Amino acid sequence: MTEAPLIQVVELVKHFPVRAGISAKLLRKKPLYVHAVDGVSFDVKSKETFAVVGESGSGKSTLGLTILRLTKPTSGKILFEGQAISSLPERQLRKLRKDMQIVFQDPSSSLDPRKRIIDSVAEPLRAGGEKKDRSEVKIIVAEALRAVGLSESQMNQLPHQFSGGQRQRISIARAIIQRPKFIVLDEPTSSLDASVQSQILLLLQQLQSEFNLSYLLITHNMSVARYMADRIGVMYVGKLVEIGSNTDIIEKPLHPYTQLLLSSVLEPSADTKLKHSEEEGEIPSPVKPPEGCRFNTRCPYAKERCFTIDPELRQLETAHFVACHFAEEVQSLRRNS
Amino acid sequence: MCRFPFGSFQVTDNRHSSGHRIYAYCDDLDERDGRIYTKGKNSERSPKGGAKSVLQQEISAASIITVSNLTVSYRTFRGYLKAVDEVDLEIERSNIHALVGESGCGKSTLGLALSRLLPEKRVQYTGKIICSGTDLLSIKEKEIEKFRGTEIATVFQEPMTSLNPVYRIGEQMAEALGVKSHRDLLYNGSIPKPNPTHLVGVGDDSILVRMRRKGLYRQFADDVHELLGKVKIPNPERVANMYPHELSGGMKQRVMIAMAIAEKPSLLVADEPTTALDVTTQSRILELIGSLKNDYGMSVLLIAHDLGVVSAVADKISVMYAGKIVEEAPTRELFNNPLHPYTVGLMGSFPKGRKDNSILKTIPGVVPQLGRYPSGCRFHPRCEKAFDRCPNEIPRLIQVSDKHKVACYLHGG
Repeated sequence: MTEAPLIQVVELVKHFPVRAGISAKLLRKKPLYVHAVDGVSFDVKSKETFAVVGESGSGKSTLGLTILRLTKPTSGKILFEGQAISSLPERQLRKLRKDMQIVFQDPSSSLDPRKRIIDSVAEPLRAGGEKKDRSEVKIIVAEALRAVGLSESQMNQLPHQFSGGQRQRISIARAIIQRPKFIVLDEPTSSLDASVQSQILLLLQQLQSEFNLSYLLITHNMSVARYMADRIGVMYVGKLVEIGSNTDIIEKPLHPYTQLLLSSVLEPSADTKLKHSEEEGEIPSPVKPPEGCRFNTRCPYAKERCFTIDPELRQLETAHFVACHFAEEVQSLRRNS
Repeated sequence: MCRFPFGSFQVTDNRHSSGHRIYAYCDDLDERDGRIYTKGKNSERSPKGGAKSVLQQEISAASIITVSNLTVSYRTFRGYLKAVDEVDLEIERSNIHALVGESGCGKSTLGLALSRLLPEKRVQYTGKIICSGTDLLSIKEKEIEKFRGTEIATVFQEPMTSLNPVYRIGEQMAEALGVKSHRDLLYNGSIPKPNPTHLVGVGDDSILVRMRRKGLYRQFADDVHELLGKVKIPNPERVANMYPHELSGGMKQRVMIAMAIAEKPSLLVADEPTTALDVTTQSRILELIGSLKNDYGMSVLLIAHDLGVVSAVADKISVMYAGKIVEEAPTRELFNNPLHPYTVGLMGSFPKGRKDNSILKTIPGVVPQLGRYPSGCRFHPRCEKAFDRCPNEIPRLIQVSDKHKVACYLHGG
C-alpha cells in the first residue's frame, strides 16, 4: 500500500442533538444525541470504489455528507489528499469543493424543478466562482451531458420532461462537470427501476475509468455493492463493523451482521429461497445505542462479553477488519454448518 | 351469489390443481356434467334486472379470480388512455402469483382494479373480473363492498401512508373487525341509523367520525391481539396501544397485513409490500406472506418490480410490459427458460457478480408513457431481437408449452 489514500477518515464522529422538551430542560436532564456516526475510520484510495452498506438508520448517508463537510463533524479528522478538511473554514473549503462532489438518491428532489438543465448542471461552475460567458458554459455543459449519455439539445428543457433515469444522469453530469477526483454516491440507484439501475451502474463505471474517479458508494443493496465496489465497509448504528475487499466481504464475511445482510439478498433465479434467520429484531435507535457491541440485540452468537465490552475494529486477515469478539468462532461455525 | 366461506373447500392439490376440480360445499352452487354452475341467487331475487350480475358459466374451481380481456383506461385530457390493455389473468387457489414489471407498466392499476379501488368517475373498465361466479365489473359500486376484505383484500406499498397517524393501532384494526362483525347488518340495509356500537363506516365518514373507536377497540380487543399475534408481532397488547409512528416500517406492514387478513380473504393483493422496507425486514415480510398463504390457503397477487423478491416466494409469475402481460410461467420454468426478450432483459439487469468478472446487461430506453405506446409489439423499440414483423403486428399471448405463455413473434405469436 504505497499509494497515499485520497480520502482518509480518522475517528469521525457526528452527533445530532435531540431537541429536548420543556420538561426535560426544566429538570436539567442530560441532553440526548443521535449517534449518527460514532468513531469511523477508513480510507478511500485513488480510482477506487469504496462501498458503505447497511440498513436505513445506520448512519451511512450522514457519513457521506460529513466527509464532504456538508455537515460539520462533531470530532475526528477528514484528510483530503493529506490536507485536513475537517476544520477548514468555509472559504478555503470552496476551492476544494470542485474536487469532491455528490450524487443524491432522489434525482427529482435534487434538481430544481424551475431551473433549466443547463443552469442546474452549470451550478457548480458558478458556485466555484469561475466566471464564464454563456457560450463557454454551453460548451462545457454539452460535454458533460454527452458524457452521461444525454443529448446536448436537451439542455434547455426542465427536469419534469425527463424520466427518473435521465434525471439521475443529469445529477451525475452536474457532479462531474468540474472534473472532480472524488464523488459520494448516496444511494444513486435505489429509486430506479431494475433496467435503469443497470444503465446507471454501467455509466458510473465508465465515467470512473474515463475521469479517474474515486467513489464512496452508499447503498443498502448488497448486490449493487458487490458489483461496483473494490472494498466494502459494513456500517451498523454509527460504526463500521467490518471492512474488507469485495471478495473478503462477499465470500468470507466475518461479522454476523454482514452475514445477515448477505443472507437477505434475493437473487432472481429458480433456486432462490428465503433463508430463515433466527434474528427477529430491528436496528436499535441511534439515540440510545445498546451497551457493548451494538449488534448484541440481534446477534445469534451474542455472549456475556458482547453486552459489556464494545469490540474494537481489529485486523483478522490482510486488509480485512472486523469488530466482533467472536469473529474467529463465528467463522468456524459457519464453515462447519 | 356465493361467497365461498373460508375453509369449506376440499382442496385436492395446493399448487397445480388446474386439472382437478374443487367442489365447493356451497348451497348456491350446483353441478352439472362435471362443471360447476352458479344457481343465480340474485336472479331469483330480482328476476328483472339482477340476472346480469351472475354469470351462467363455468367457474374454474381451481382459480380464485379470473380476469378476462380486462382493459382499464384513465380519463385524461388526451382522452381515455389504457393503462391495462386486454389482460387475461387467472389466479389459482392457494398460490402466490407474482406480477412483475418496471414502474409504469400497469401492475398497480391491475391490482387495484381487481377490487375496483380506482376512482370510478375517472376510470373505465371493459372486460370481466370473475370472482366466485360474479363479474365484479357488472355489479353496482355499492355491491363491490361485499367483496372487499372478504374475497379480495389489499396491502399497499407504504405502510406509513396507509395507517392513520392519529389513531392507535388497536383502534384502527378494530375498525376492520367492526366491519366484519356487522357485515350482515350492513348489507341487508337493516341498520340505516348511525349507531356507535354498529360500525357502519364503510365509505361514510360522518358515521366514522361519530363512531367511538376506543369503545370499538375495547369490544374487539381480544380479536385485535389475536390478529397481531398471527402476523407474528411480539407483545400484541402493547403494540395495539401504540400509534403508527412508534412502529418500524416492517411492523407497520405487519399491521397492514393483519388488517387485510381480518376476514380471511381468498385473495390478498400485495402491491409492492416490501419496496419501502430494509432488505433484512423484506425477507421477514415475505416469509410471513408465505406462511399466511400456507396457513389459510389464501392466494396472493404479489406485485413487485424486483425479480429477486418474486423468485423467492412466487409460484407463478406474470411479466407485464406497457399494459400487457408478455410472459407467464411457473417460477422455476420462467427463470430456467425465459422466452420474452423483456423478461431476459430484466433478469440480465440484476447485478449478479463483480464488475471485473461479470457482464451487467441493460435494456436500452425506458417504458413508454401511458397512451404513447409504440405500434405492434410495444417492446420492439427496446428489443434487440426485433424484426420487420414486430412494429406492424401485435403479438398475442400464446401457450408455448404446458404452462408457459409468451407474447412474442420469436416464439410463435
